[in-house]
Amino acid sequence: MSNILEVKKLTKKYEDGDIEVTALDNVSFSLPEGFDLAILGPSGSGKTTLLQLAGGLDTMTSGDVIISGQSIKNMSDSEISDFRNQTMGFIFQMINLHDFFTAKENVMLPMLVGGVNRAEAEEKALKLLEKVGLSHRANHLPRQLSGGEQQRVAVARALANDPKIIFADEPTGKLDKANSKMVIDILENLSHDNGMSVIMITHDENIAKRFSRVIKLENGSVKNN
Amino acid sequence: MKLKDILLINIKKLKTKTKKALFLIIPIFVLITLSVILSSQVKNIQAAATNSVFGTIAESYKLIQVSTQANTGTSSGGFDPSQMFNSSSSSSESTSFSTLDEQVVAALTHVESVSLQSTLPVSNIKTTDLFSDKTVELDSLSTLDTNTAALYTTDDFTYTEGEAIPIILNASSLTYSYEDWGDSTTITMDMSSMKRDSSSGAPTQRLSFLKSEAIEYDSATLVGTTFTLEIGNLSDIQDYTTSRSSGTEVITKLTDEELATKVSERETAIAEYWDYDKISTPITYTFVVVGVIDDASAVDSTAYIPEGFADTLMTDYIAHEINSRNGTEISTDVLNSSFTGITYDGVELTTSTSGMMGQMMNRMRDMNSGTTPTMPQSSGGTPPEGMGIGSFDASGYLIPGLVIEVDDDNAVVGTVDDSTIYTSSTKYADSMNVIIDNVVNRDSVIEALNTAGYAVQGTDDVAVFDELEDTLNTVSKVFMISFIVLVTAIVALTMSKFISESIREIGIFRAIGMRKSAILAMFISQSLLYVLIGYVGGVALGIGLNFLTGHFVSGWFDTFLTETVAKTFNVVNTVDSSIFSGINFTSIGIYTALLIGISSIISIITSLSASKVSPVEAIKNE
Repeated sequence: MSNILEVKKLTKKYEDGDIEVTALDNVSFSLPEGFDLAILGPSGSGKTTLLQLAGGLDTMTSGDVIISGQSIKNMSDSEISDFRNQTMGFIFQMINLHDFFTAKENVMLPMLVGGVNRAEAEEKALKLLEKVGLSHRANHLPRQLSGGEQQRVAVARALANDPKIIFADEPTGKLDKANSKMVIDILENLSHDNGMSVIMITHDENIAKRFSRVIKLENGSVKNN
Repeated sequence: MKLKDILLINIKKLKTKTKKALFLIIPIFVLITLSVILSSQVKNIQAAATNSVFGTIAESYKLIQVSTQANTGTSSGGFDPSQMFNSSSSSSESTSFSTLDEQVVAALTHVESVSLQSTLPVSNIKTTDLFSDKTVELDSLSTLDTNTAALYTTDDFTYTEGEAIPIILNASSLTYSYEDWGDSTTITMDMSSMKRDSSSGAPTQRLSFLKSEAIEYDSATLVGTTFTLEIGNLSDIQDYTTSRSSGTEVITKLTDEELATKVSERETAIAEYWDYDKISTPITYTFVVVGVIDDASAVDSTAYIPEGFADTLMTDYIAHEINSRNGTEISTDVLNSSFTGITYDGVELTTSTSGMMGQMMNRMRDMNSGTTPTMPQSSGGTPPEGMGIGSFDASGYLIPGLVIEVDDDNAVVGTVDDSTIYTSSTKYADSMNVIIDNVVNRDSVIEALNTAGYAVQGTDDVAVFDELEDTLNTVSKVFMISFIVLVTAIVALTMSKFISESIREIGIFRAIGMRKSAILAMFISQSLLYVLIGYVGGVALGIGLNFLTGHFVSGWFDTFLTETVAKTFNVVNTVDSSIFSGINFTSIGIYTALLIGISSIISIITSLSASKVSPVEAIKNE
């Protein structure tokens, strides 16, 4: 069985004034296709840094990340952008919808960026919104939606291009218990239906238990596998 | 990502964030509105000014008048006593221009045409019906070619028999002279104070009883007026005597009796050889005013008649004298002692400087040299009363039209009894009218004329108008520079603000997979879209408001013409107010190009920073 994600000796250092900070120190792990991963760890342990590097949002100091057999280390901006658009979906803790787009348009956006024509993108966006239970909210602007509804739109957006892997950074961090559960349920169901892998940062042990793999980070290093 | 989708994103942004967009749209809108109105009105004012003022001035500055008297080559047409002193020594040495001079000047670069201007040797020219209750005496009549005349009139300037003869009057000759003795009959002059006065240019004290005032006129109504001109009146008898002792001069008014005696003495003298009634009746012609010279370019105070009329007038003038004779032969002795007229030296006909100016100049000269006027060849029998208005440097009574032939030594030979003598003689040309190809070459032609030995002074009047035009050009330039600076600043500031407020938004776009180039295109097109909206609105409003503004500018310009320009120049034509509705499409094109160019460059520069935003920004938890 091939791996959907391989992280090899991943290191991230940055300068904070005169001090060199090692945010991530020689982290290695791999995730087989069809498996989910929860990343646990206290604040400042390097969880978000790991997610950024794995998703190609930031540049690594050393090591390598291989997604679906492709190393993202030496990709150009265009290559990594296109790769991210087609292969990955992102869900953030801060609800990051574009405030000038309706729910539907926000979901359509990754498809439009990927060159899908508008009609097709619209049709698919409506289907996705239906799946997250927001058909009736398709033409609402984000400010007209509740926090939980907004995050469900973000989930639908992450799924738009049928990615192989979804990166989620504490997606329920700002939500109440009921909404958290709903978002996690949707994410779990949809990803399993489509054979996607979900990689989620969480500090909630109960949520982590629902994932097939869990790694714990502490001070930029993997504590156990 | 498709460009169309990028544009749709921008339209979406504009719809939901209209207020923000207005920070860029409104300033561009206002700037373009202003640029349309301002550039159009500057051009309209320039066009109006060219039509009404600069055009006429520029045209008249194409004429350079070269006079045989160097000092009259200035642009001053007014009476300047300081010039009288300067000129007095040279006036007697004035020579006439010949066809040789004409050829020399015509060969100079930038000279388009040259014509000789002759002052006709006629005396005592006046009209009583041009102005209702005032008699106007014209200093002299000169011929003018049609080329030069075109600078002063748009009417036909040719002589047609049987029709009113076109004449161009000189405003400086439109004066009315009178004597004012107050209550006394004698005036005592302090001659020493006279010399001090000369520096301030006021010989009024000496001839304080001789006064003249300018006649108010409106050149618009004067042009087209027909009037009768009398030529060849007998001169007025001088109605005062002067006596001098060291330092003072006493002027005494003659009593009516004394004056009547003098008039009858003259009548007796004249009646010996002429039919007095005939010779004292002037010849008359009907003229029509086609132009009035009243600007800085007028160099002398002569009135102009068509070249083609000169022979007719002179033949009539001389024939009138010949026909007035009673048959008694006029001996050379009598010609030497009692009568004066036109001098014919076998080549050309000349007359002395005439009019009040000449008389005064003569007196000044006499006074400076400290001698009393000498009367050459005067036999002492008859006092030279003809010395009054119209004949200085002459002996005896002035007989209009009398042609006296002299030999090489200036000795009188006899009368000339051929009325066509003027036609066959060489014309006494005291001025050359030089027309240049373009007013900008005026200075260089003047320099060339001086180098060739023709003294002509330059003038600063053209420079004054250059300054006026420069002011308008400066306004345009300042506005254009402000426009460039403001467009740069507005686009740079608003776009920087848009981008800095959109960091997270850009981060999300990047996380979703939008390329840097797409981000760049998105912000450049956003900026250009807003600029375009402001531009289209600005051009539309600008063109609309330009008509309204034109109405006000037209009103202002009329006031400017009547209250400012007309005080200096009488050549002012009013302009049609429709000229102020003109739209300067060339300038709008330039401003359009500037706007597009600047906003594109600034958009690219600012949007580059947007494309550098890291997708990590999307994930930051604050």
